[in-house]
Amino acid sequence: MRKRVVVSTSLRNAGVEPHLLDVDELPRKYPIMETSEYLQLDGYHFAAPTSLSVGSGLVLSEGTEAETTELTQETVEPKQLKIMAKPDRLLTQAALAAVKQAGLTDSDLKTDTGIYVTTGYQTGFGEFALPAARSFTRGSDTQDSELETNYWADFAKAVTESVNPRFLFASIDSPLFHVSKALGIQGPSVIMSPSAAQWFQVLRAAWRDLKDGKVRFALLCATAEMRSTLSRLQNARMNPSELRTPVDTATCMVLRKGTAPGRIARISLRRTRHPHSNFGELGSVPELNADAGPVTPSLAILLSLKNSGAKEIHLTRIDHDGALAVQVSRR
Amino acid sequence: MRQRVAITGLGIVSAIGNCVNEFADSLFAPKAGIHPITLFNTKGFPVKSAAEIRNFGPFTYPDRKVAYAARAITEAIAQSFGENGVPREKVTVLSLGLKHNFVSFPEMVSANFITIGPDECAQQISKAAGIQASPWIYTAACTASTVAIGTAARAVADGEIDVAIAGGTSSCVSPEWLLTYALMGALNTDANCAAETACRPFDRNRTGMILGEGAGFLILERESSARARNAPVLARICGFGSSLDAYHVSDPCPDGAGALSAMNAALKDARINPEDLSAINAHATGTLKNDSAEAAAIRRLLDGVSHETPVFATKPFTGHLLAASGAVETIAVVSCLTQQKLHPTLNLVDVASDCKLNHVLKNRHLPLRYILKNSFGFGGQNACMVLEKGDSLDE
Repeated sequence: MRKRVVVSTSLRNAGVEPHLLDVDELPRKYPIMETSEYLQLDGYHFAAPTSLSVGSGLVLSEGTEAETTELTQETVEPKQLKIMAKPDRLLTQAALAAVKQAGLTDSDLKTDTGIYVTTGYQTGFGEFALPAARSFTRGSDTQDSELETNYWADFAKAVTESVNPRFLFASIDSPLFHVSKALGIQGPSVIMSPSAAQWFQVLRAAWRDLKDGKVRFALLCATAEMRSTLSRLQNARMNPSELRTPVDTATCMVLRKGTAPGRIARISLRRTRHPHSNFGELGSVPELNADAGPVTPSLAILLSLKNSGAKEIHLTRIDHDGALAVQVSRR
Repeated sequence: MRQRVAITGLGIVSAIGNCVNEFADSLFAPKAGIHPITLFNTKGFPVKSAAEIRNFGPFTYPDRKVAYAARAITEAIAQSFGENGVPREKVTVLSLGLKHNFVSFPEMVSANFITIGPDECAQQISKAAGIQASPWIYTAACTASTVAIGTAARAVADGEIDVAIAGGTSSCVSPEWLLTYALMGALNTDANCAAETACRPFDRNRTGMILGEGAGFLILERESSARARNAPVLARICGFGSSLDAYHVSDPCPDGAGALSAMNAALKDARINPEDLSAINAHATGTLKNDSAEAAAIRRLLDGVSHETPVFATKPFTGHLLAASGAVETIAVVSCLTQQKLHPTLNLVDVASDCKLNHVLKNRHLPLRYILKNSFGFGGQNACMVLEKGDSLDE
């Protein structure tokens, strides 16, 4: 029996306020299309999640992904290794493994490959600088009096003394740099953040470049450190009723334009109308009870492929102008 | 691009003007927007100058960039669609270039307040500007808004969407951001330097960038659609390309290889050759390494073709708006195309030996058809766009 997985990103994650969505107003201009074009998935990998429990239906523990490529001085330059924050490390690890699995050569990578990344909230710099900031607690009503003091001069002094400038580059877009540097990729790129909704747009950007012949291969990447202090605070503030077990993880898939049934799987992308999605099925996807942020859609695909049960994976992003559906069929 | 993409509306908030007309007037006056910082007390602080927004407020939202974006989007939509706004049946996206969210440390620790993240920022902008649009949020450092515009233009050209409200917004004139960039060694922190001349791209005495704030947005749609509703075609986006240096986390590849690759990709996408370019709007931050690498890349692009292609830079007027810089500078390019003249690169007095190009030192009137817009960012991210002139004002 075919197992079918449907994932709908929440409206809030899609960046659309619920009151803006009126199903009756959805344009009817996007009929459900037959998919005649597709991409094929040549390699994939997900870096080991660092949470022991991912939902109720599946347990992953650190290190269980046996194919993990350790980041060592043989794979990444020592200088680069030193300035990597966790999302950088996870994604670079995933990308190295996926590229190896797909069998891409150095000449394939240089300019024939693009990198398309979704990242979570910026965490690296914040984590590094937080200790310095803690000594500068102030109330929200002190702005006027600041003007009469050396407050910002003292702040600058404290931060300068305690923060290593190297770490300032650990930011939301640094995973893109680290993958490009580690693999020598000089092709086009797109990086978006911070939610699962943006993953669909990144996929579409990769799709567009492959279809237009701008690249032969696309590294579809996602990485997020959902367990960091800053991510937890931000998520708690934004989605207090939707808290799930956070996981830190990254995924990388190697895509190329398909002319034959895919080596691993094939991915189709289509615009559909709203009824094609189904919020009700969210609860039946135990693998995704964990919150992997922007990595969630690709994690759904890869977990399903890895578990071998799924022949068909169907991801839908709801938007106020319709739905963007991604269908993955295992070969 | 498969179909011609028209720019039918512009909106801006910048240190040299809080609407497009005021902005363009300042460009050609020419009048810089970089001044001593007034937003906080800089006594003992390492950075003294920035391009702040003046005569703006009050702020309804705690994050200033939301207010800047809302104002700019409102102006752009009004120019393109009038007071009724974007018709609801149009499939519309808000393609947004943002710097990553930055925690306002003291407030977070004491009041549990976090400066809003990119997704929340997009929501608030949509709400403040009264638009219903899917957010596409690009966080590609200093190329973010150029990528936001370029990829949105491709989606418009391919018929995926009807209308793109594309651009970027930034409110990085804050102690935290200024200190971050000062620690990185990217800012001009010379206390003896007059604010108005502190940003000196391509000059022998350049010492770093000056941060600015503001927002710039463009309305993009297929030219056929714009013509059908008699909308103004202010300019066209006809090519976009991006590349990665894969070289260094902050420094550009010295020979400009990555930048050259992105420029060539944009020209190829536009189906034009380097000799077709009327001018190049440089990224030109005023840092030693960026300007040198960009000049090398431009010389390589024009090698054997024409070394007379004029090169001009906008940051001495507006400061560096980081993620929003590409959008604001694209509006400067459209202003040049519309008025058929180039604004000068301010403060360029003594051209550095490694930055020799045909620099524009004062307003230059000339026939302009295609202008290449460059944006380069930390991590070796490069994005370039080709713009073509639209309808003449007297057509």
